Amino acid sequence: MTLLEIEDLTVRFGAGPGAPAPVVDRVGFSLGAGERLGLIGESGSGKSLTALAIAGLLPPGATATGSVRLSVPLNAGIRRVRPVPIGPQELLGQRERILAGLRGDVIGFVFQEPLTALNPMMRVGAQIGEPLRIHRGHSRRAARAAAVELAARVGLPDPERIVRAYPHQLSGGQRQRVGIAVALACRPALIIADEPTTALDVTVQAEILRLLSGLVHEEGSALLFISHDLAVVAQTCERVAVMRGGRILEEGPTLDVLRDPREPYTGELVAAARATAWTGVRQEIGP
Amino acid sequence: MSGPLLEATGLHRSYPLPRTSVTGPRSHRHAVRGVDLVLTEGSALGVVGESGAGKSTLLRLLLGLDRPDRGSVRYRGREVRPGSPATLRWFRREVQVVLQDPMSSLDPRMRIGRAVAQPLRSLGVPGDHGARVAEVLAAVGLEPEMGGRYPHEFSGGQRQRIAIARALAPRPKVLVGDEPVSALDVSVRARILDLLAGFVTTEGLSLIIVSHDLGVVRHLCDQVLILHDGTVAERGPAAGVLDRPAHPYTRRLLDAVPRLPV
Repeated sequence: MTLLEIEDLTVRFGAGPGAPAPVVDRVGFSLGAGERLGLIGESGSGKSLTALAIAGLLPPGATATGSVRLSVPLNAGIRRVRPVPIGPQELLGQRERILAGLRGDVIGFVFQEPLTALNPMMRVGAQIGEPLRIHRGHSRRAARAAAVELAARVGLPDPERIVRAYPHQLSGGQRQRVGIAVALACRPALIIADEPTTALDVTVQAEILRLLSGLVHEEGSALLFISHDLAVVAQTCERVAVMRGGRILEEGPTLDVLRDPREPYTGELVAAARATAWTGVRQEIGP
Repeated sequence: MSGPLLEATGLHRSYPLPRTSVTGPRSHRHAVRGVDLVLTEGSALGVVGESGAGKSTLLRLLLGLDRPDRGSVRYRGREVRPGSPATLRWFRREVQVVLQDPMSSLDPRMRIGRAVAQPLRSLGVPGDHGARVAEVLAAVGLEPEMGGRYPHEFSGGQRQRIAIARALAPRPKVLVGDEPVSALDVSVRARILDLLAGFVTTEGLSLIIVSHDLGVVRHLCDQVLILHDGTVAERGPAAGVLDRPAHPYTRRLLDAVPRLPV
């Protein structure tokens, strides 16, 4: 079943004849339930804006055209505080009230820098439980109990105690675990992770990737994984789309794209990544 | 075999932590605990470690920007004592640094020709500064005419080239790079690494590259030092340490690096 269907998505800053070229240019892809797609590209390729456009979080001044269709699953037995329309629906141009009901409930977001994504003045337990209070109407007490459970699921040590901590008291890896717990709280059908491990050390990155893949698999959520790191995407996603200059150049099964790229740019990207990637063997750059 | 160029022995540096009790003794964080290091002429040494391993503290000590609690840093046998800029001028001519983020290490209001010439002026290097600027800009693959432009007019990769040109201007023997390619896109990264490797072979430059990225260190360095928790976990020729890690921490680090499927 197709969960997310994107067609001709175009994002531009400003309008009219003198406006600059679109930063996301006629992007299209689809994501099935439980599928994991990696969106890869260098800085300025438009990958993050694509993700933000899907969730209706574009910065002021940016406008999106085209189509973003999400099939909101009926999750039987769930009481939603903010009723959201069920079934396939267009998100672009949707009212903010509806989008706010979908974000954190049907669409979970994991950001790059958990320290800026988390509220410094709020205990992490309250932040993990917040989506449940907002979307499911949990009482303070029920949300707290759920937060302890979620903290344990994302592998935070001593969950009973750690939910009372503030973000600055945690390590970078622990903060990202909190970020993942917040995103997973309402068991979203779609998780969008924007460079979730770029700010982390390699050993922590390995743990977080394992955790994210495992939980996405257990929950059956679909994952849109945005990264500049080919090796990280290859480890996490079965399909990959390569972006450059706002466009998707090619898309396909990860191994096929890496081994036999159709576009010269993808070939260059793979070669450059191989030259400095850790392969265990010294590689030479260039001719 | 060439002799030692930059040498550190028994470096210790600790910082006081914020007080947790009014009366109790103040606790300290031991950022660097007994690190020895030797950089031989014409060699490239990679210092690898994760956040909190003591990389930045070690780097500050090696550059004479901070005074060790114990131990010393010597350059060709002469002790590097942090003090007034004038007392270290001899050292700055020999050892230069390239930092991670070129945008924040270049003055946004200074034309890059002037920025590249600055170490020549401040270190009192004799000779035609304009000619030297043109020379180093050409060496990093930029047009000498670009000297009239401002940092924001360049891409991230070009800015890092400018930072390298500035570091090379006073003809140092040692270039220290603090994560010199981490802020760059992968395709640009390969070119900058290539450029640095070129200076080692053609100019006899020696490198210290501080990085968390094992691929970068493997590509550029012949010697490697693995820093963990302020101490040296393992050291030796890059090929040996990275192919046959002996220390459990090195193994854990190597296992964690994401690999591209072949």
